[in-house]
Amino acid sequence: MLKANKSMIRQFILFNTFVTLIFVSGCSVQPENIINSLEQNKTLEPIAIEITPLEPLKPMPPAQVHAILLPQEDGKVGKLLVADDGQETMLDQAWQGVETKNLDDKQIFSEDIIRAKYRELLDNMPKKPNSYTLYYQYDSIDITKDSNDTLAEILNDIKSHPTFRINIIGHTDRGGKNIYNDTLSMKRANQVAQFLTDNEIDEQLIVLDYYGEEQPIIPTEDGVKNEFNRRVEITVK
Amino acid sequence: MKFFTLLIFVSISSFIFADEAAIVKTYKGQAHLLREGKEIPIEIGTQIFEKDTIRTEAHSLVGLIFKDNTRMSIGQKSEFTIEEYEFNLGEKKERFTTNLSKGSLECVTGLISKVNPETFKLKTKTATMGIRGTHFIVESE
Repeated sequence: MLKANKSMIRQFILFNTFVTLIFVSGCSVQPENIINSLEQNKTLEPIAIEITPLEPLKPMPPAQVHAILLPQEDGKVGKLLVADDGQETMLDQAWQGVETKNLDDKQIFSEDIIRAKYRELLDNMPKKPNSYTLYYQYDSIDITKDSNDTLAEILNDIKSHPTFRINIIGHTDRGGKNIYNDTLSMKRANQVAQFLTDNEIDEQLIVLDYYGEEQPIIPTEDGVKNEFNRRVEITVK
Repeated sequence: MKFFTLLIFVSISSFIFADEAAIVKTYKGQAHLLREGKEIPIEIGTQIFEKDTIRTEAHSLVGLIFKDNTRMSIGQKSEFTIEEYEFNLGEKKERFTTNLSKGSLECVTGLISKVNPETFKLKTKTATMGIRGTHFIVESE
């Protein structure tokens, strides 16, 4: 941890003055300063600071954009391509960040510091919606026995949490004709929607889609029956 | 059989086959939705469409879930526009262009980033973000 000394305190005070300026003028802030101040904040006693407005900065520095890559919920890390003014850079490590004024200078930030700085933003993120899949008999709108339990689970989920949207998407396998399968997938989706409304779920919450045989889970040749592709996907939001 | 088909169509018509891009799932403080020049109040459950702009005041945040399950948390003092959004796997047409003209945003990408990541674009005042299956924060000052 950083040990506070006079110059750091001065830097901290300067930084706070600077932040106020930003507040007013809407110009840029450097993330390392925020990071430093956050780190120092942990070790310093609270300081009373008098803010003296400074002369506006002339000319205004260009707008700054900071981008930070976070790990996904499954722990994997995606990639974020940041492009600015003809230049670009790829973020591909957890907690890696960059600002647009210097795309060559990628940094790894501490998770704690990013979580502290963006706590409100992170807390506000909606939770991942629950997704379910119902499976069907061949050429039928009857679900399999196992899927009966899933259907009960879906109903329970919707009723036990405030729900604002239910997406229902019907699919078929590639057995049978394309056009026929479009209709079959629509009937499957509709039957699930009907089941929900019969169980007192508000129909206004429901959005239906159907893709026929276009979106198989397991790719097959045309004409091939597949139990995993005959399905309806339900997402509760 | 004809009667049966008719019945299906009649009963299906009451459900939405929507172009809705997202819904508001979390909401705090004072935020506005700008649609075709009009200000519309935001509440949890509000539908968000292509071309809508969300503007948050101080201490106000809005959380969205898109149709493709992309999730976004929009921070305070932000302005965020959905320029293009289309998610229809059947037609294989995906478009996802958004613009954060100020403020901050956290994004957990959804199905679009898996089926067609090239279509995802988040513009800011200066930079543009593209993705490959991602969770990130962008802040524009």
